[in-house]
Amino acid sequence: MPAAANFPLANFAGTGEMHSAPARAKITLRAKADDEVFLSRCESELGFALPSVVGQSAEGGKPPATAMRLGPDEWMLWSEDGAREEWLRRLEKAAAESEFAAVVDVSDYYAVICLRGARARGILSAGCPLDFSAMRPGKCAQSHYAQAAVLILQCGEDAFDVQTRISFAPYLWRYFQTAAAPLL
Amino acid sequence: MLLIECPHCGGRAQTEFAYFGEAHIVRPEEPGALSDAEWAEYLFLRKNPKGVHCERWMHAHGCRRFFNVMRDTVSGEIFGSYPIGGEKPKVARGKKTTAKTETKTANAKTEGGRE
Repeated sequence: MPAAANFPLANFAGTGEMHSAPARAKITLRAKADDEVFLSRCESELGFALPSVVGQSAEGGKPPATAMRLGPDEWMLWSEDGAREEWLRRLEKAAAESEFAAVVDVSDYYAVICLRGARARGILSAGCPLDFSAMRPGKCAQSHYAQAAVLILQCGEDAFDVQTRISFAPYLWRYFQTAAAPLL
Repeated sequence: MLLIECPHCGGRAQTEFAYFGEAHIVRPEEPGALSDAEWAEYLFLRKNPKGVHCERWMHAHGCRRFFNVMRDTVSGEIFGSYPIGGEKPKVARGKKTTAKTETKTANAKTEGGRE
């Protein structure tokens, strides 16, 4: 587990309209969509129900967490970095009774770049085919940005968190910078 | 660029999808009992029609699920998406069919009506 200082995007870290997110816990949940036992046990562990619609997110819990539904049998959970072990333990407990369920820690597999401000939509539209004018806070979508596979969560009116595989993050970062230049 | 309706994620750009060729090809139950010609027919020979074609697509950059699309190979017009094993949409040129709502109902069923 790399410390925050070893985070590949640490060099880019800053504040303002674009910054790399501090290391956060990322956990993939896979289960059959009709696995009511898993869903209800997750709900009692999380303190909120996993979103039932693909492309929707839900948040709550303690430590605070965000769950995104990525597909009919897949969810992604984000939380603070320190909460990784606790969420893993609790979600593995929730999945213990299910024959086809998986809880996997993918925290170090992905990086998150945060886009904030009025130009965020323009930067995203430069490389991603999603319709960001139709997207609303709380919605998430998997797509691609140029050649990189991304998961995008709209976390506010003009705020987007973009998750990508960690080796793609510098590429994505530079692409964002290039896309932002004409919008300055 | 095609706009393809993923049964789970909704309408998305073609660049998010991977194409997997003709749909509705069933693997023979006893390959050993087939002649070489019949096996070649299953393995290699495809319809390649000029017109309406049922084909498999996979939402590679999204939910990574396979589904079928009915499409006109000349105009590129899409008549609808439907789940693997589901019913084909009707060919209605110039407008989208009701395949979308049918797909939604099928989804709701697999998701235990949680939607």
